[in-house]
Amino acid sequence: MTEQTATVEIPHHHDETGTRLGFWLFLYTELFLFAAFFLIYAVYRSNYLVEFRTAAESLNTGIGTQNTIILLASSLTMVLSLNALKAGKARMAKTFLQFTITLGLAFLVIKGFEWGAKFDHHLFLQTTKGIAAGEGSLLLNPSAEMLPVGQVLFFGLYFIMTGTHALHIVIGLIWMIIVYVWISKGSINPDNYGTLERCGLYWHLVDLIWIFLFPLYYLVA
Amino acid sequence: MEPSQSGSYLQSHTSSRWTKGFMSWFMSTDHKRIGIMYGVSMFSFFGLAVLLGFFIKLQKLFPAASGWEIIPPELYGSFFTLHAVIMIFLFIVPGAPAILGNFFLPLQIGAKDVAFPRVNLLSYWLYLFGAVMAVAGIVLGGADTGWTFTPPYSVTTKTISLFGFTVDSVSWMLVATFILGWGTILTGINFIVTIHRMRAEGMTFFKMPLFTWSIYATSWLQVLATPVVGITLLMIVIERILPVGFFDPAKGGDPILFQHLFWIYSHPAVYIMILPSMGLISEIIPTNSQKSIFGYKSIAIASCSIAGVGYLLWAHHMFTTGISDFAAILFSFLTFLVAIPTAIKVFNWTATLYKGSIVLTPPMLFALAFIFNFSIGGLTGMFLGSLSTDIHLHDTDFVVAHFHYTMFGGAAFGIIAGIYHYFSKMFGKMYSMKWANRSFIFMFIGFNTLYFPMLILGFFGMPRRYHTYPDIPVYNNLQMLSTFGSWILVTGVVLVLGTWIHGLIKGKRTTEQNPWNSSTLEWQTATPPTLFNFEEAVVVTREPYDYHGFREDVKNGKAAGVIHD
Amino acid sequence: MKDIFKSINVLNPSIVFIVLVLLTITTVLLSGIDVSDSTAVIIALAVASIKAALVLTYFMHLNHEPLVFKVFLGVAFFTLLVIFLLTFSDYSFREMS
Repeated sequence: MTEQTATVEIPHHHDETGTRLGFWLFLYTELFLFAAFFLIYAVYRSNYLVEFRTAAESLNTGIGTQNTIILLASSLTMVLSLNALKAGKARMAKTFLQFTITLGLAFLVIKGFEWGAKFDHHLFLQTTKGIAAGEGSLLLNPSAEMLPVGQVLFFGLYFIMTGTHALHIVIGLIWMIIVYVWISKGSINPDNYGTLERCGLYWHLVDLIWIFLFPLYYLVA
Repeated sequence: MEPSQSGSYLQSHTSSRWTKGFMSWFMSTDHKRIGIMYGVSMFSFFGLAVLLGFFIKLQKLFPAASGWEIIPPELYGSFFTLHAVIMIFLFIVPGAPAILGNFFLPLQIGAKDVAFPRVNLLSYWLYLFGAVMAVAGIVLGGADTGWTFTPPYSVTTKTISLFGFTVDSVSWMLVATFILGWGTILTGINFIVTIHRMRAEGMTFFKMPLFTWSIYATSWLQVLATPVVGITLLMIVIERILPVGFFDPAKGGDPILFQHLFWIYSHPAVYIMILPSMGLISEIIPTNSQKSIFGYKSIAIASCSIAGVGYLLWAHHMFTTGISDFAAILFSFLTFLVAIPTAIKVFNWTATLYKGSIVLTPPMLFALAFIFNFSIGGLTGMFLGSLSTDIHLHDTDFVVAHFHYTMFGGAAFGIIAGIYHYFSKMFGKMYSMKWANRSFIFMFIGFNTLYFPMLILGFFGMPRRYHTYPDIPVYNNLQMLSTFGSWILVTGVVLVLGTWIHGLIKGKRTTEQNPWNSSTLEWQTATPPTLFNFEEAVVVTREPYDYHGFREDVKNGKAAGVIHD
Repeated sequence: MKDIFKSINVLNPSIVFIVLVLLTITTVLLSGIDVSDSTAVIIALAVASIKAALVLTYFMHLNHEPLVFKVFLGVAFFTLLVIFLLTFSDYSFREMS
């Protein structure tokens, strides 16, 4: 038998709705990933109510509000960028995308300062060093500076949840930069805006998660 | 070159760069090739895990008091952990959807490929990467946490150093499991979108074959359950690296919360394992009875309700951990509830056999064994789901036997039946019927000789995961019988794999489209299928299991249910 | 600037944005009121849910999507709800010893 080798081009199958449907399903998996965090938060909050409220007071509501509004504004510019591209205004789309990227970076910078302040106030590393010194048990540690276990859990969750969220912001920013370059090159254009649309959906999801993180950490103190 | 569709997928390629050899497979976005790659990888890992299981049972041949020691106690934990991790995460969870789902889902609904072929290839790469990472980690470092990674032990257990390496093997395995999880999530997303968007003309939801239905239900579980466990396992890694204590009671954490989060995924995961096999049985039984399946819609809906209810009963793994009485009663009730759609399926399969023209082909034998084994597995599950008996049976060999009856005697027998069923369609070659039948006899007898004594052992209080047992007659005799069974079973596995390999290399070539006279769509195309599955546009006109209409169509010279435009 | 307003739809998303900001300020102000903890959490989560619904509907264009998108959203949120309820069927009824 002769080995016949035929190379066949895949017929390009463009199903924008199908791709978007798949992307929404992906967004749900992201949502469930955070849902696990929220569930842990809910359980420990119900177990350590007083400690959680005390610990939450040390978070700066002003900064939290500021960041919320920044993220909402970045979502708005994202919507406008997509609308502009759909209307055939690639340059305007790029301008709005620049705004979005800038706002995302601003969010990260503010978040960074906030994290830094927490580190300075010995709220995370110092605490955990204390635990390490006590060989894994707070109860064994006589240090007077130690936080109660409920507060340690609060800050542990605070750092891991906002950290995971920040990681998503970084991924979103990298994606937006790639999209920006592709718009410049013309491979994303008014007739083919699916990638920008999905990038936008992802960005809105990151915003959506922050909408729930914000009150749970900054408001219910 | 002019795009040609005429060649079989084994000779045509989706990539223009690699047309031959390993890379033409490894870089292929063709769903059929990806399915075969999954098959080869999974059954390799399966073989390794069977070998580990063989040694685990060999260790139990005589009690330690008689001086018998095959595996030292400190390694025994690593052996059963690796056995479980491979069998669960590398074989049976991704198993049927990845091998047969990839290959036959698009064929069954008349599509050219899955919705996102490149994502499909990415899933495979993630699978392979995670699999190698998990196995390498545990082989280099050893881990005896069990596949459940329950804290605080999984957090505090020390890294073992072997061969001069110091590998934090528990963290390695956890990260590997996270990566494997993304592989299955992407497969699930792919299949859901494929089913929603790429059905052929006339292929309504209630004209889809039942295997497709079961894959649909499975995919939803994959998408909605896997992320939860992914992040939970990563939190264990963080806990191992940073001194925070999300699940460590010494640091204020609650280890039972970990078990909640773990089983929120891992209980639906058992339905991820069993549903596709149920789908395969629903294909094999009507084909080999030459009769329409009894209660098509009820089986389709049962698949979805098993997935739905199956999501709600995770805490029945935790009855002895000190969860609230209210939760225990609630979860016990929900556990009994899931038996209803499961039993509906079993009754429908047996009703299909009634007055059918039954042909005992190898896949049919495995399918009947599935019903037998799965009934035992399902019913013993009811024992464990009732609160009082669970206190007695929890963490005994009874549980081990129960889940092997569902997972091995059920899910794995289903996959093997499926591959025997579809072998000629996949490869254009036929295996030896004689050896296939022999492999069945060894598998079935070996399986039951191995696991039925374990049910009794568990009833007499033999704890699971123990290295040895006290030297008393009832344990000695049953353990020895069980080990004898493992030898028969391993022979059976060798025969199954041998029959397939022999069929692949020396099997008779066949281009017969529909050797079993099946009425579903995947059989109404070339053997092996061409790159785009169907030469012409497909229009579906018949119900999937309408054998009367199928015979009429064949008589009139039409491929069943498909109008070629 | 006027050019922007003519060529693309700026007004509607901007209104949604302003409502979102107003809701954010409202929820911050409401958090200052001294109520019981569970009431505070319920108020905060209710406002957050309204905000989330706005983002989903208008920013993520769910209002223009086919029915199947909405059904999927329903499945996802229902599953989330069930996970939380069933987990708390344990924690709410624990006998603390």
